[in-house]
Amino acid sequence: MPHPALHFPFLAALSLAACGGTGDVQVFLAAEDTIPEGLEPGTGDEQIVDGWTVTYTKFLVTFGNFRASRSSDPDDELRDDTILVVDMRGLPPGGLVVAEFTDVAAERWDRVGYDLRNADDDAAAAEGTSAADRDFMVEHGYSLYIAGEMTKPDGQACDPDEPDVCEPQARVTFAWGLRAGTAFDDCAGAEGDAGFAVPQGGTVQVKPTIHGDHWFFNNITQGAERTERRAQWIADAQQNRDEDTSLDELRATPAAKLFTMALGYNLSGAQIPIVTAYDFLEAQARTIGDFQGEGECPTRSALP
Amino acid sequence: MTRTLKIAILSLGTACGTTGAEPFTYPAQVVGPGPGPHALGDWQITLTRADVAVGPIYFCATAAASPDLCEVAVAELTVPFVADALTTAPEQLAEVTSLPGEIHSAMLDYGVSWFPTQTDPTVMTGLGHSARLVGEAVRGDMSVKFDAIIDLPPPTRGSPALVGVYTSTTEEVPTRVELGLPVHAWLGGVDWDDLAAAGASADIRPGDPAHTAIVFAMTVQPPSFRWSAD
Repeated sequence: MPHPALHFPFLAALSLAACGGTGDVQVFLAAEDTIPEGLEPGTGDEQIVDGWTVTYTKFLVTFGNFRASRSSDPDDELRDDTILVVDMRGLPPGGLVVAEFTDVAAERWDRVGYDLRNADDDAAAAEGTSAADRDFMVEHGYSLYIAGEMTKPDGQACDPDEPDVCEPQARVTFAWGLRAGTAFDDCAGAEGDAGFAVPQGGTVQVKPTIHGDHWFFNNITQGAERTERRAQWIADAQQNRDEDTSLDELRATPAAKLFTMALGYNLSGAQIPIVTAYDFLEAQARTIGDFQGEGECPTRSALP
Repeated sequence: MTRTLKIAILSLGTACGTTGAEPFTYPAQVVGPGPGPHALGDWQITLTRADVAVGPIYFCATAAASPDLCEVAVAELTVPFVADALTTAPEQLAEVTSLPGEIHSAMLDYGVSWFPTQTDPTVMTGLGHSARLVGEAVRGDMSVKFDAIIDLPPPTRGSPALVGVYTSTTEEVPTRVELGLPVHAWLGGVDWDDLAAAGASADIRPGDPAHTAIVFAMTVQPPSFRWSAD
């Protein structure tokens, strides 16, 4: 009897042929438009209803561990263990190629996931990302770093304890780094189609997509993004009125005083307990991993 | 949404005939933290009444229950009930109708629902509200008696009040689920110093800062679920 291993290539080829041959997969990391373009005030899609304009000057993530498998054959997995620090404001049009797989079964790969990890020494700088940014993320172990400003000509900063007590404040800056490592799984397109399908003899483009507006949501999205975007909480959490809202100020501000039902907030479904404004930020940072643009990766789990 | 789910699970009960899956029921029991006193920072809170309206509840196979991600529930508790959270012994108050399958999340109302066909939220239990919490907070020689009437309707028509509530069971055919109601934790965000400074007693009503704090806590600290199979 021949050695079983000798049979394997033949059996594998037979199996693939039966399922329609093979194709290739290109994985692009993409940024939602809110990251390079910011958010405008208004009531339209991806606009901020309370009048603030938001611009990011820095948006770094630590991305990696892209994976895909099929429910019909869970042992056959596509995986790339590369970890990259990525400057999301500097991506090429269409996204940054972060993984490629060739000669994979031309079927639907319905179980797709990836990580936003807390950066460690294994992380490399992605193409277009500076070594300084990579080192900064690794030094602090950040999964996410954002910096930017909010402006509103008639803006105010109000006391969370006494919301009617406000001071003029037309500009607020922020610079926040978070260790909010999260695994995102069960990714599906906006129409709910799980994962991606590989065309026989062709190439499918798969786009893990990082969103830049979830900390402005008034809920924790589960599925479609049916939400309002509000930024006033960032101005109100600023305690010393120095035109900058720090993480320490967020940690010192009770969430219940900022994110009220009267403003339409409902924070059920958060992955972590929300007590302070910082907790809200972290909870939302654990939801920004999306898929194929507006699709979701609803299974989220904390990473060490 | 809720009616859609109800129809969906009932339909499954017949549609699943080809796989042999039939709906079954099991009891939902409720436990609370008891009257206390409960330490909340420097304050000791003793409850003399802790009625909480719960339901409907929909249990989903997906990790994040929402109308988008859980069009068909694995199990559901359709009849809302009022639980006495002063009891620490499990008390059976409702019944869950289920199909076999793992549960990974839940969505629920606190006795006030807003169905897609309704113009306004509707109270579903005799309590008339989502919760009624009565008791006394004491710190040293300061004290304040409180009577909180809590309304927590769904945020939008067709949506449950709470979505994406994490829970997990690998029991495909559970025989019991125990709901834990952390009512003492819901009082943790109340500014008891402010309330005590305002007087010896406080009626907490919608619009009050203390009501806002309790509603927030009920949203981010949902009931817990513990499943078992005999």
